[in-house]
Amino acid sequence: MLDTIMLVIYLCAIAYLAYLLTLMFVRKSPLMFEKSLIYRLAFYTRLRASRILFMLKVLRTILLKPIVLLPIIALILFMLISAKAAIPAYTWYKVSSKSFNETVIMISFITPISIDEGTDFAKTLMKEITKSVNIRVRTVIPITRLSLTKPIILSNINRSIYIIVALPDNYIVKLKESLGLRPHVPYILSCDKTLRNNCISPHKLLNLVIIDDAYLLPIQGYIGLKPIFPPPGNVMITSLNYLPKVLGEDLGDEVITDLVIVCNGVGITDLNNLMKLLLVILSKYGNINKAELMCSLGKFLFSRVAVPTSKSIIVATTTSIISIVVLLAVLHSMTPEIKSLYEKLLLVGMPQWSMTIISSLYVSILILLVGLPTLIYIYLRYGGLSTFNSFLTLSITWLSSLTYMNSSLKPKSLTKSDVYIPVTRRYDLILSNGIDLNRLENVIKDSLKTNEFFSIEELESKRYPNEVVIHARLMYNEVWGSGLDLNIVLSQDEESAKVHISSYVWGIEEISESIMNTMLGLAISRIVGAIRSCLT
Amino acid sequence: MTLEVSSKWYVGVAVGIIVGSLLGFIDTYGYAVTGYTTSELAPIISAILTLALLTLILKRSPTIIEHLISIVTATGISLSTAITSGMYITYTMLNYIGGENLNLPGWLYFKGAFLDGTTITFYSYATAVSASGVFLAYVFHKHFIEKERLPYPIGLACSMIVSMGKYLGKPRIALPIILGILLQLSVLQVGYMSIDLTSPLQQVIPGSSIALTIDFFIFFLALLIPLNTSVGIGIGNLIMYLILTPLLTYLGLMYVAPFMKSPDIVLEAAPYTASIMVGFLIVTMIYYFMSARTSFTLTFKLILRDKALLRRALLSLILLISLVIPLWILTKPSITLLIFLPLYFILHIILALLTIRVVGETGTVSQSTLPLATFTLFSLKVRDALTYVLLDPYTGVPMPQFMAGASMNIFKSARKLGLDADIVLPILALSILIGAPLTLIYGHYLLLAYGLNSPKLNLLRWVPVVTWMNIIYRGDVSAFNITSIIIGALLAFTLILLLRITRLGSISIYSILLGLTLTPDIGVIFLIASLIKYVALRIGFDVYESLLTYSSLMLAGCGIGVVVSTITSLMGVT
Repeated sequence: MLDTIMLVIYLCAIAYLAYLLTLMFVRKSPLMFEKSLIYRLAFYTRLRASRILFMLKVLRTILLKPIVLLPIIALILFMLISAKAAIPAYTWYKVSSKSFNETVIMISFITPISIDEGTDFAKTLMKEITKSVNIRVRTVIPITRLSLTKPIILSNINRSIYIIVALPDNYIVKLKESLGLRPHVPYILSCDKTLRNNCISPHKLLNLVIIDDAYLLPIQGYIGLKPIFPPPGNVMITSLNYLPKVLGEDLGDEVITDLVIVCNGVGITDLNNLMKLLLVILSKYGNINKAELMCSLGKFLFSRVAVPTSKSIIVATTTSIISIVVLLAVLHSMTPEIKSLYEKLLLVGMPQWSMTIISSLYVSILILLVGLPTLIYIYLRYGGLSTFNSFLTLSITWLSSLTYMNSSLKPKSLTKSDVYIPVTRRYDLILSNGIDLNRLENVIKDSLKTNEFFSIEELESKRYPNEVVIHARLMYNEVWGSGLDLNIVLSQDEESAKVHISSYVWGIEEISESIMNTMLGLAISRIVGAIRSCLT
Repeated sequence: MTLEVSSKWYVGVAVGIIVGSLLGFIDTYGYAVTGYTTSELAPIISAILTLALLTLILKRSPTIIEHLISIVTATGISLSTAITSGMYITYTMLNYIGGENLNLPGWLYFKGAFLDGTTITFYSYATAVSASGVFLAYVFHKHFIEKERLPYPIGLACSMIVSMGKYLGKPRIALPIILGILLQLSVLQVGYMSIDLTSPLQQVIPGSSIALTIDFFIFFLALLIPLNTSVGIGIGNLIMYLILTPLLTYLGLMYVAPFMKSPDIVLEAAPYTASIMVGFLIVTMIYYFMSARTSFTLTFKLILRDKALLRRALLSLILLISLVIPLWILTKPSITLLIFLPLYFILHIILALLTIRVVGETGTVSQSTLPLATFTLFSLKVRDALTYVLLDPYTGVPMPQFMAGASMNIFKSARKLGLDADIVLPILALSILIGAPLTLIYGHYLLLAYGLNSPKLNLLRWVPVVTWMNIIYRGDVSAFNITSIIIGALLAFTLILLLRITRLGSISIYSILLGLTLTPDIGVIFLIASLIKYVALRIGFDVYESLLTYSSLMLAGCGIGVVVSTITSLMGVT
């Protein structure tokens, strides 16, 4: 029933659309395109190269001054000082305040290690710790948690395994016992329609823990505070000894991805020492992806991301300030010369805004040309942390210099001085009587046709008694996607003739006010000029 | 210049069907296997592909109408993948990974070699309901294109490529396309280069995230989007990951660890992002319709006076309301839901209009406007998956909003080139409807060919999506968070006030809305693009327009790069 209803609605929609389509194409009169915007290739790629060249030449003139060497040297020097002052600090990141009776260290490796390597690592770690902290190791559990990109297919139950978790034999035996599974079962899977015996419920599988609230299954991520686990149907838990049978040739010696070291409870003073000591020891090992410490103080995560100490940040800020002082002194000394250059250039037609671009480019090029190679050198020589400190110095210096230059060279606003007729979108002219509207219409049309700044897309007019309406769509020749629509109404009464011009500037994208004003000015002034000349 | 309908328009339709079928398959394959889809960019990609094929068949440059008709047809078929194969694969994964207790009906997902008749009927019907968005877009196209003068960047890029069609062989047009293809192929081969500062940031501002991924697709799209919109998207993104996620962490709503990368933060924040969007959308929606009430009143008056428009608007409404039939038969809805259903359908239309508005500025809106619909159903105590499947445009099948937004790009392109919207409407809607069963079959046979145990369809990739849908469908209280909703509403209110009071009024609230939903590595791209656009605009408008032209061509090249990559992947070439 529902199928039929849905099918009918679908077919009705198709039939209706087919009907509409037929109507369109069976019309007797040909369908006409509306006037279209056909882009002209000549304008597609033409860049206003002169403006770019112009700005580059000014830039070169002010960049090639000997005095520029001073900020260059200063910047390099202070970036190096800042880099040398960078002192890394690894920290513990507290994620929970929940207290644990035992002290547990859980370490995840970036790349798997062999069982022997894991045992050696644990021994060395504990040897170094026990030198200064009173702690006793109860057990070390090596674990394999592999996430496979190519799944293993268990053909007998048609299931693909993406996640394999393997534990030492004695732990897997205990686990099976606690789950009520038979000891000879080689692996633990979750139950579903195809598998009902020797398996556990998906919910139980997901909630298995190694110790306290440390889950056995790898966590894929979090949604809010909820951990996301892999689908239980695609997980296998087995023993480390059985692992070769599962993975076959794909298995190498390096299988251990995690190490869990369980110790007895430790006092608060010893814990603080332990945490400091662990930071030093763990930071020496490059293969550690994640380390967790669960103790009576809470749960902590070892942050491998070394952040600069507050001391090194202070050095970076101080060097930035000195660097800024040197740079600003040089820039300040150059300001009068640049201003004088600017005033001369303004007279030969340089737009006001280009000074902002020139000053911004000047500071940015100066700082980038020096800063980037220095940063690369610092990265290769001293590493990432020093680069961060130097980058801080560079950024602060750059931002301050940019702000100073742009504010000191800001062109004077013209708005308070005398500006001639503001550009307008609407223009009204009242003419003395005695002018023939037909003549006026022709004059306006001619002025539009001969305007070299625009090409005509549409030009139409309609005559009424005592009124003529002209519509024109003009394309601005400077660009390919902008133009303006003009509506001109000519009316005549007993006393006078009126010309009402309204315009709308349009573009393929947003148009800046200056461009809009330019276009309006060029179009309307030509029409007004033509009308005036017709009067005289 | 006046053009008449070419006698070879049928060649355009035929070529559109061929290219659309190819794009539909690539989108389906990309969605399921590689994660890359080009569905929303179909107008740009098909503009190049159809042009090549048309030139080959006609042995001359196609006329604009032939070219445009083929693009509309191809885009229609390609768009249907989002409704059919996209959701078919999603529900298959949902059922396979975690949907056992959701009681999803068997015809909703892949069960075996035989493709159920009900499956075909349902997905085709859902596509018809989604096509109501195309009608809605048609009815309002003059309002958005002419009254609000929105640029619709993807439509704009498509029209630029069409009008440059005959020059495709010229080196200065062909080179950017080739460069775009090479850039995208290199990224797909080598992987996305990215800088992720999220880990070190956790020590300084817990919960924050900043990253930069060199994604050419996004970069060229950002260059095409209007300057202020691009800035707004960047600002929105920074607000989300430098203010809101740290705030959520401070409130104890997020788990943060020092080794976290930006994708981890995005995943963690997902339910809160949706909640923030709900609050943000409520305020934005009220603001938009209040501020545009005069022009909307005029538009509605016009619709009521114009019989043709009224007919299409009614058809759109009938298609949408027809959802009551399967809802009644399949789910036996609660009285509360039935009482609120008329209001819910009105919300559907309001969201469609808002989506069209946002797409007008940003080109693509993804699904940022839709969490409000999910939240409404959730608040109405809907706790069965099937109601969401039928009524929710965010996690369900019918998506009129997606279709409305995507089709408006086509209307804009056609209008720019002078083709009557009356011709575009039936061709586009018809190709969407005819494409539906075809793209569903693609999805089915893809699952049949690879099976769910194939490494090609990595199940782990689907876990976050499926978990999120599960949380909603099961009515878990953590699906939406009241505090986050309030934060979203306050944020929207503050931003609207700020944008009105300060000189930043040209940055629209809708672009910030989209920025909030994007991943942290994307926001910076939009800011870089804005800077480039600003400098280009200052140098000269001609430079600025050239930048737009080249961005369109490079974007088309990137799209074709994805097509090439998918085809080589299918052929086993790595």
